[in-house]
Amino acid sequence: MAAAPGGRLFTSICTAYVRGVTGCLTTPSISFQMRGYAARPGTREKARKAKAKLEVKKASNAIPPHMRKSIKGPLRSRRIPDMNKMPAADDVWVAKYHLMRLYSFNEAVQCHKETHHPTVLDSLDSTLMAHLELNMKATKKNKFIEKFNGTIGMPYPFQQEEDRTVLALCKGDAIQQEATKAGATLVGGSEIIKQILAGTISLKDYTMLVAHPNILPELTALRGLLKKRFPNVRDGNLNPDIAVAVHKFKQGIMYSAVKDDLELDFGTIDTPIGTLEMDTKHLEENFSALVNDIETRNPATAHSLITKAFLICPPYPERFKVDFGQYIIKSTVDNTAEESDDEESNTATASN
Amino acid sequence: MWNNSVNLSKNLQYLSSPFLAAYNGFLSQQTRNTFILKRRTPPGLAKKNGPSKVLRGRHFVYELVEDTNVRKKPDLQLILTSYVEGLGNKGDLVTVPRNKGYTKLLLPRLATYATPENIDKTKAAADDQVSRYSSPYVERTINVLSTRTLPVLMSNTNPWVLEKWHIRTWLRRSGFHLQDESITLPDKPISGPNPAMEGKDFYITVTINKKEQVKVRCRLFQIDKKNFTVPEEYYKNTAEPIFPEDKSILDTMPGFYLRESKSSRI
Repeated sequence: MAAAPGGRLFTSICTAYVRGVTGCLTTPSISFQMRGYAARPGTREKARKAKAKLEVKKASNAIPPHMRKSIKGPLRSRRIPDMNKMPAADDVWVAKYHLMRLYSFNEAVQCHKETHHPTVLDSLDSTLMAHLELNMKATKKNKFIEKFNGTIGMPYPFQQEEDRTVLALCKGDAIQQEATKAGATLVGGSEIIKQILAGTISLKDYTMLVAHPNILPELTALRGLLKKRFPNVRDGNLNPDIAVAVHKFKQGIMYSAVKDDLELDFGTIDTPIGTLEMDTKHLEENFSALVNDIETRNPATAHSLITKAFLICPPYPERFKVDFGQYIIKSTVDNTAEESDDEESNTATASN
Repeated sequence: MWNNSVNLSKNLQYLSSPFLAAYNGFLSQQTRNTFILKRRTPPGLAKKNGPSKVLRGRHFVYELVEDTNVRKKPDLQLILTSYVEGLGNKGDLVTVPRNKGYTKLLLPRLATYATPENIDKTKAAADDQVSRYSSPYVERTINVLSTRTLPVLMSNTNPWVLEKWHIRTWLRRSGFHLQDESITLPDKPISGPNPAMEGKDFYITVTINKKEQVKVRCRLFQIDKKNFTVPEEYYKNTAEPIFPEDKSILDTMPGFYLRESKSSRI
């Protein structure tokens, strides 16, 4: 009799011991949170959102896996190299052993005109392009300028290859006639807005939408469709003088800053500034207008947005580095080309 | 590990030998490297005139700030003891990367370290000499120009007479900068388009710093509008001269293959 309770006691002690031991062993790995009430609404959702934020952003031009092995060494910069070499000392010198020659704008245009002369390549109708390297650093450290587009009415317009369509919205016959004269593809008032909302006219068919301030109350209905393309005074597509606005987008040049995916502080702009047949002075004024318009996009006053400027004439491969510092009118920016080169090399080392 | 033990045993052998005093190898050289470290958790300052802080385990965890062995070493400043092509004349002070300085200048005794004594000695000797070229880069320019076959592309449709600016344009395209005054064209004018002259050679003379002269082989190609491609590896082939009397001069000019063999320059 006595054995039975004694035995029970022993077993219970044993089980308690075993439980205690196993409990000790298991508690660190399996921890149940016992809660006698429901979780607060939205807690799990919050946790899920926090997890999603951690996802690493991939660079859009990341190298595909099958190509990684074939590329040896560090990735090459897309900047046009201008190494720390000796300046030329003689009157005849080999380009590759010395600093890149810095041309004045007139010299560079003259060089292109010579190669495309009727007695040589016979193609003076070629388009002269400006290739600009940009320093995309913003005012704050590790912050960069977003890619941007712009349109400038050139002082000396020229024929461009691309065909542009401009939609002009305004009220009143006189203003509408002005827009038609200036070369707008489609001119209209509130009836066109209704058609756009109904879907009979597609905004995708038009490169640019230009509006007169008198149609602004009706135009707000299109804000959702237009988003960033909604006319505003800064971009020049909301203008009381509608003819000027239409002319700017029909004849002016459009440029877009392309950002490098790997070097975040580096961007380029390639844009035509005229044809080789044009007078050099006219080309110079066009170039000056372009440089100044781009510099207005610079949020940082410490450095010039443009670091290097080249004149190219595709498909001919030669390019000439041009001194652009003198064309920047801004008083705060006094950078010469040499200074900007130094900056550029500094940023390169920093990024490495 | 094995190597270390072998070295240690060797050193021990030397230690036990009677020529201990003569042997200088055992730990005689200190290792000249420094690892600059930083405490991950600094212990903080002790009280003034108080006892020093007790350091715990976490205070002995370090982070590497810099390994001085991998620090970039500065360039060498040397003084040239003889003329070096593309670098300078005798007695010139030059600053070159360390590796290039050792292998290309110090080892062949083309330069010495720029100590005040060496500078005095070399400059005194250099003042007596008259330099061969007007600048240290001239010889290199001559070498590159004389072995080049310059492609001269001219229109196949419009009439032309070869002028200095044509040559300047194509020299610039090939990587040479110069003014019109440095160019001397052939005595007889070359004009076209002329199918008989297609792919044939002539030579021009380039004057460097109004002193040195070098003859440059040019090959004429007549091209269609906007087509600026030249035949592939045209410079490896020989061609007939435009003017037969130039043949003897063109034959003496160094060709492409000579340049290949001369590739080991500074």
